Parts: sequence; C-alpha cells; structure tokens
Amino acid sequence: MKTMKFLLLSWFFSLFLPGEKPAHAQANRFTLSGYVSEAGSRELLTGVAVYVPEQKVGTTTNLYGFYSISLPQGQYQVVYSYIGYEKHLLDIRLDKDMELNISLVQGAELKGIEVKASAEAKESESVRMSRIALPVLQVKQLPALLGEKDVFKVLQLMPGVQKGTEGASGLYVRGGGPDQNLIILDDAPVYNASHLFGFFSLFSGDALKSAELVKGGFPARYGGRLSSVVEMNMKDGNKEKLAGEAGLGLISSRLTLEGPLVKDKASFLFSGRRTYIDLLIRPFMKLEEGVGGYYFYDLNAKLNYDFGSRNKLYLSAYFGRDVFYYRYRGGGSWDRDELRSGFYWQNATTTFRWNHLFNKRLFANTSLIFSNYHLVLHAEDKSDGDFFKLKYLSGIRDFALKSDFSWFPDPAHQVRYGLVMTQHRFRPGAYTVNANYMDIPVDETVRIDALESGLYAEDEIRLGEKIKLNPGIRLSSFVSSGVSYVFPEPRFSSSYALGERAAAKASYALMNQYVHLLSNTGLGLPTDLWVPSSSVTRPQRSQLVAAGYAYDFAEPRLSLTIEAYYKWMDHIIGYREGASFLVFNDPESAEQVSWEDNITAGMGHSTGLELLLQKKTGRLNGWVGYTLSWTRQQFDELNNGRTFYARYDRRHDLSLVCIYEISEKIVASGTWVFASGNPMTLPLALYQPAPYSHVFQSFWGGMEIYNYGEKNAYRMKNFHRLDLSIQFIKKIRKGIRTFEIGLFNAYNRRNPFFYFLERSYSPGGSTTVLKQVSLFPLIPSISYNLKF
Amino acid sequence: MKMYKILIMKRVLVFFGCLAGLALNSCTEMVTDIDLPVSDPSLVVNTYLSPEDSLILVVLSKSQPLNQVWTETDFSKAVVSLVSSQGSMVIPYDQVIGNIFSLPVSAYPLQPGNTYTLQVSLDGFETVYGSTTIPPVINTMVEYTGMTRKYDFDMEQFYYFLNFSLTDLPGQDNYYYARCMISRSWDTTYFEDLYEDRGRLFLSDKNNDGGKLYYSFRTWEEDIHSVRMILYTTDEAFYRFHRTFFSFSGDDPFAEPVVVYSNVSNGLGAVGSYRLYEYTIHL
Repeated sequence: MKTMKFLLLSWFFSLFLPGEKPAHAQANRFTLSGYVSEAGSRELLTGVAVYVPEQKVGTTTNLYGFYSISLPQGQYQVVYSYIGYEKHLLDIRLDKDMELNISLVQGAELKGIEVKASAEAKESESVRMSRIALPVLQVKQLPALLGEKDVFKVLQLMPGVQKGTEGASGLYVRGGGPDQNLIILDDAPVYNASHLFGFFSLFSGDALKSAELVKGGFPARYGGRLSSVVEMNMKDGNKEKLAGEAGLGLISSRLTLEGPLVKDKASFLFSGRRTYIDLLIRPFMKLEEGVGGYYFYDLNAKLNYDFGSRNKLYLSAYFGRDVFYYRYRGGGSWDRDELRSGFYWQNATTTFRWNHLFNKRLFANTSLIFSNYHLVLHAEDKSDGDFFKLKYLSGIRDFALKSDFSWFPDPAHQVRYGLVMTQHRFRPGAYTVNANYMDIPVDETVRIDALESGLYAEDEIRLGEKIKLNPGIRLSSFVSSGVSYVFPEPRFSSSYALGERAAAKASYALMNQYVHLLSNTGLGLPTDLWVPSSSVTRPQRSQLVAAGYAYDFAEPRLSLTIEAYYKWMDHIIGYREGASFLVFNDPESAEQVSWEDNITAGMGHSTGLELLLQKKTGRLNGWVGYTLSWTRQQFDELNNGRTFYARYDRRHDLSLVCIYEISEKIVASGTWVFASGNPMTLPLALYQPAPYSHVFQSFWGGMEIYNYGEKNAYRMKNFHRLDLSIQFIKKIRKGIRTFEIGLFNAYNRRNPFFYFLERSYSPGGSTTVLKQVSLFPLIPSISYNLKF
Repeated sequence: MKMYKILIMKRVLVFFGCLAGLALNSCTEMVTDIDLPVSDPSLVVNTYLSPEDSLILVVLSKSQPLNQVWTETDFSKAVVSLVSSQGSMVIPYDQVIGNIFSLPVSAYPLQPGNTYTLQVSLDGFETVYGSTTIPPVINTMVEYTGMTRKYDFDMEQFYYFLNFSLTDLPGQDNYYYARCMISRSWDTTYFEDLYEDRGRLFLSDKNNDGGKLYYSFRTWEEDIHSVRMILYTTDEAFYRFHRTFFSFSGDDPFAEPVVVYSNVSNGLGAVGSYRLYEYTIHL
C-alpha cells in the first residue's frame, strides 16, 4: 500500500513540477523538445545525441525517442546525430518553447550496409561509464554459430563480459554469475534467456530496436541484480509502409513483418523464428520405433498507437518455447503400448506502456508488466489397459507496475524518479502423478509469493563545462513468507573533462538481489531454479567501485575507454559440496531435501582492468576488447572455508572484432577471441581415509574418495577461436537480399567444453587419464536474407 | 544452360564440397587426452582421541596419484608418535588388525583440554603431523522430545521419528555428533543402532550459540522399550572431516565436488577428538 501511495503521490507531484509557464520567468529560458524518429519508418530512435555547440550543452533521446533541452533565448544551430544515420543540422530561433520532431535518414544509401554512417557520440562526453550500447544492426553483420545471429554472443565480445563454456550464451559480467544479470525486454524481466541448453539466446535481433548492457555505475533506476542490466527494446513497427525481413538458415527460418495500421498513427510488428531440424528428420522416423525431436521458436509482437506528442500507447509481447519430445506406439491390438513424454520450457512476457508528456519538460512512462517462465516435464504411458501420468513443473511468474518520470528543469539537470512494484510467484517444484493403480493421485505444489519494490530518484548534473555528476538513491524492499528486507542503495557516477576529447570517470553502486538462481552447472539449463530470499537465504549484495578514462581520437575516429573496477559481493549462493541438482529435482527426495539444504552462502570479490578501443564508423569498423581480472570467493562450507577462484574467473579475455565493407555489395567480418582457461576442480589422487565408526572398532572404511587439493585450482586449456563471414548484398526489385557464408571456428581449434577422467587398466595396474571434450569443430554455415 | 553458368555451378559445388569435407573431418577426434598434473603419494592418517575410550587408534594408508600405477607400501615400518605437554609416546604397530597403530589410553592418559600432536614418519614419504585439542567439557543438556509418526506410501506402513533436542554450550564453538539405539520389550538389554544419513548427524552451533539443536532418528520398529542416545561433543577437525567425507558423492557428474577436510600437514586425513555422553530413556 505504501508503494501505491508513493505512485499516486508521484503523479500528483508531477502535475505541479515547473512546466511551460515558469520557464518563461526564468531569465528568458525556453524549452526545445520533441521526438526523433527514423525517416521512412517513423521508428522512434533511442540515444540520439542532441547537441547545441554554441552553448556546449546537449542531451540524448530517451527510450521513447523523446528529448528536452532548455536554453536562453537566442539563435542556435542544433545537431542531431546517431550511429548509422546521417547527421541532421538545424538552425533555430528560440524565442518561445519549441517542439521539433526530427527524422534522421539512414547513413548508407543501400540500407543493408549501415557501417559507413557518421556519428558524433563521444565516450568522453557521457557522465556514464561501464555502459555498452550495442548497435543491433552490427549483430547481423558478425559471424555466428550456424549462422544464428545472437545479441548475447556479441555482448560476450565486450570487455568485462565473459562467456561460460564454448558456445554458451550466458553472460558472466565482472565476476558475477549468469543469475546476476537483469535481462529486460520492453521493461519485462526475462528469466531464462536461452534456447537449446544455453547455446543460443532468445534474442536474434530481428525485432529489436536497441540493446544496452550496463555493467557498472548503475543509475538508480536499475535494481534487482548484482552484476549487469541488459536492456532491450523492441521496434515499434513501421508507421509508413509495410516492410519486413525474411531469413533462411541452416537450422531455422525467420520472418519479420511491420507496417501501419492507421497511417502515421498506429503500427504493428510481428517477428517469428523456428528451428526445423525435427521437421527434416521426421519423415525418416516411425512411430513404432519411437519418434523424437527438438525445436524452439520465438514470437515477438508489438502494437502502438500515437495519440500525438502527449500520449502514446504500446503493447508488446514475447513468447518463446523449447520442446523436446518422444513418442512411441507399439504392440498389437491386445498389448498396445503407447508412450508420450518430453519436456519444454518457455518464456512469456507482455508489456503495456503508456507514454505521457505532462509538459515539455516532464515525461512519464507507466508500464504494466507480465513475465512468466516455466519448465514442464511430462510423461504419459498407456500399456495393457494400465495408465501412468506424470507432470513436473517449476517456474516463476511476475506481475509488475512500473512508473518512470523524466524531468528536464534546465540543461544542468535531468532528474529521473519512479517506482516499480513486482509481485513474484515462485514455483520451485510442483508435480502430479496419476495412475490407475494409485488410490490417491499425487498432487503437490509449492508456491511462494513475494513482493519486490524499488523507488528511486537520480539527477544528471552538469557543473560548469568540465564536471558531470549522476547521484542517485534507490530504496529497495522485498517481502515474502514472513521476512521483509528494506535497503537503501546509493549510486554515484561522475565525469571530469580533460580537454575536448578526454574525460576521467568514477562510479560507485550498491546493489541488492532478492531472487536467486540455483544452478550448479552454470550452463543456463532449464532445470536451473529461481527461488526467493528467505530468512535463511539472505539477499545477495554487491558494491562496485570503478574508475576510468575515455578518449576520443579525432582521426581516425576511434574511442578508447579504460576502466578499473573492484566489486565486493556478500551472501552470494552456491551449491553445497556433494549436492546434486539431479537429486534435488527428484520428487522422491524433495520432501526430505529442501532447496535451502542444498545451498550455502558466502562472499566474493572481483577486480579487473578493461580496455575497449572502438571504431564505430567507416568502411572498416569494429573493436578490440581486453579484460584482465581476478574473481575469488569464500564460503564457510566450501573448500573448508578457504578462498578459491570462482568458476568464471578468467585472467585474460581478448576479443578482436572487425567488419569491413569491401564494396557496397560485399561485407566481410571476423572475430577472434582468446580466453584463459576456466578453473575447475580436478582430482589429483584417490585415497581411503578412515572415518570414525562405532560399528567397526571405531573406524569405518571401504569408500575410496578423491583428493581434489583445492577447489577450482586446476585450469582448463586456453580458449581461442576465429569466426569469419562474408555477406553478398544485392539490391533487387522488391528490396535487398543478403547471402551469407560463415565459418565458425575457422582454424578448427579444439577448445575445452568439459573434462572427464577415464581409468585405463594394464597388467601393471590401473592409471587414470584426463580427457577433454570439445564441442564445436569447424562449422560452415550459409544463410539467405531478404529485406523488403 | 549456358556454359559459364555450368562452370559457376561446378565451382559452387566444389566450394561447398570442400566445406562439407572440412566440417566432417573436423568432427572426428573431439575428445583429446590431457596431461594430469603430477603429484606424489602422501600419507593418510586418521585418529580420533577420547578420554572416554579405552584405546588410542591410528589408521595409516597412502594416497594414490591418478596418473601413477599402484605400488605396495609396508606401513609397519612407520614411526607413529603422540606428543603433548605430557611428553612423547610412540604408538606401536598392531599386528592383529594391520595398518593400525594402537595404544591403551591407560598407557598415555588423555586429558580434556590438552592439545595432542600426532606425528608419522615413513621412508619415501614426507613426515606428516596433525594436532587436536580434546573438548574440555561434555555437553549433557540433551532431552528426548517425543516420537512422531508418518506413513510410508512405498512400504505401506507407518514409520517413526525419535526426536531429541540439545541445548548448546554457550560462549564457545561447539560441534556434535550423535547416534541412537533402541531396545525392544522382548530383549531390553540389547540395543540396536538406528541408521541415518550420517552426514546429517554432524552439527555445529554456528550462528546458534547457546541455542537449540535437534536430532531425529527414523525407525519402523513399533515395539520400542528404551531409547539410548550417545552424544559426542567433538572438536572442529572431527566435525569438518566427517561432514565433508559423508558429503562425497562418488562419480556423480552433476554433483559439486567435495574437498574433504584435512588437518594433517604434508598429508591427508584427520586428527580429531571427542567426548561422550550417554542418555537412556524408557518409553
């Protein structure tokens, strides 16, 4: 109720914030505001730099393409610039409040090639640090496993972000685990962002307008996870004409359609992807011998209606599912045997958003959000008149209300405040078992409800021409099953200009995480389980300090950022030694072994140095990213209380990314990655210690155990890989077609996926050999895309 | 079809043929051998000292590096000695049991609160040693809190939990282990042990100093005459070694590896100690 009151008060208060009239009184200052969209589609653009050189002030468009800047009366030139689009210059006479809606033209004539566009956004001009805005179009130009474009795989190429194992799409940011990333799509959290056991993420980029990774210096508007925020927004849909994109790949096909519903007012977007290996092999399988298969699909849809500059409505949804199935029908008419089994996991999100402009300096967005993730295992067996049915389900479901306000009182301040309330329903395990020979069917469901809230305020302050600050505070709370937590979370970012092209930056952020992912594989398996904080499992907490330097080279246009960070993490969770997630998920033992018995809490710290040299424009563009880092953890109940390297500790991580436009019709790209070996716990010897026993003369033996030495003391082999691709682009009558050939792991490096021990026997005795399993050899791919 | 188109088609086919061949060739040998880190065998020593026991027993063995072939070792030549403020005492090899060194407690009385260091030397191995301080106080604050009944759907019969509560000794780190026995009405003198998941029977008072700790033992027996609980007040090494040892889950690839505790320098195993308290109640 308190949070609801706050929300209502925020709205009430917002009505009285200085708007149009008081601005006139403030020394003849007037407000220039409006929306920036893409010419040809009217897609609102996020992050467009709006700069007034005479005043040396600027701002950027928000998520909804809105900007607002207040200036003294006068004549100005206003520059609108955005990566991939032609710069737009406009001379204005500001003697009253002005609304200017701008359309930017894509930078290249041939729209398949976005690499040679101009851009003025400078790393040294932003107060924020540890933030990476990923051009979605770039995702489509880089090589990918089996040609499946993947936003997360590209994020893994950035410094401070590491991959887990070969081919996996999980993100390990600054020593944090994959559970510590807040992944949001149009304000809705996505709880399991992977397909095919983590080899692909949900996000191919087709339906996305923007993707941004924040790995530190978190503004107060973000909360709920320790390590990063991946914020993605779907395209609104073309308001001017019907357009689309279709793709045919080795394992999947894609189709995106967008177009106007009401010209210039309402539009739609629909995007879908499905794999089809199961359909291709299906004709070769017989039901009598068993039919099995796997597929996944994604569906994105969005509708929007523009009521004018004051009100806009958006309704967006995502639905994706992975399905494994097996069916068998055998026997004759007397002894018929029929089995249907399988499992699937699915994400569904829905967001209803309302943009409201109170006045030219106060913008609000309110979202109603739904998110649901669940895993279902099912089996149904009919045999000789008997039947048996089993269904197991685990998951998490959210309903949330979020309201964000942006207030632009003057060029020296940009204030944001707001609130989010999320009602979580956790289902760590629910199962039903029914059979004709059971007197009472089993129907057990565990449900845990929780309410998570956060209210925040932050201000982006400009002190003179050199200093920019972004202080903020977030008050987060969590209530569930008799426990409640309330924590203030201070946030701070600052930037000090060192000349025209350089800046020194520093930031601090305290974060709390109230939901935990139980995972002892780190692979992002669907069996990983979300659970809430409780009186036993306290909220995880991190504190991150970072300092950095940014420099923008004039020619060639390169931007360099160097950041050093230190992160403390408290109450992080891990599996107890000996705990097995297979036992954990076994309904037989669920009664006796609760999930809290399987986990233990500890602390960790991570420190590192990151370097990013980036060329965002020109025919040759790309980046070099390097991370040097150490991540250690200490749990009282792991490794006998001694500190150890985290599973995702990585000493060196290097990425070279290059996109080269050979001509307007040919684009080549390549990535080369190198990473130090992952730590793992490897047995060194076998031995047979003697525990105390009252049964066998004070000792009990017989069990041979491994001597592991220290936890995670062994390093896997280093990882490196080269991926290449070439795109042939041609303008055809109805659009642009792109034909792509890719080589994943071009020099066929055998990178470690996992290790196992194999005992070999000889006349002299037995010895053990360590085996490395690699997953992906050289894999060629081919795909065809049509944009119309 | 024109000739140049046929040539292009051929080139495309050759190109994709090469790619496919390359991919097929690279699919082989995805499992490769890796050198295991080199390690030497080390001595494994286990002993648990108690003033309430009649014997001091030391079990000796060795570890077997995974990349080496097993060789026999004659442990009878090892020199095993116990050192404390009471002086040094050599523990002789027990010819009867084998690989165990034993000494009557009466020959070297163990004192509560004293620290004892066990040292073992054997040619070909580094000398190993470990210390334990015998818990000075026995916890006697244990009580039987009753029996609860549950139904086992698999076995289609009731089973029972015998419940105990234990009040921790405040102001110090304490570690406990317990065993439970029952006698039946037809033979009240014979007490049979109830088996439990032993890893759950080792408790510590961490974050619960002076608080209550609980034990439950399961039985299917309905004819219970008496219940006997033996409470062990142990040192940290005894607790940590057994906690981790019983967590070991063999070769389960989905289980977290267990680093079994050791307080033996240059070697493996545990040197621990405990005190005993016996509590019997007639039902």
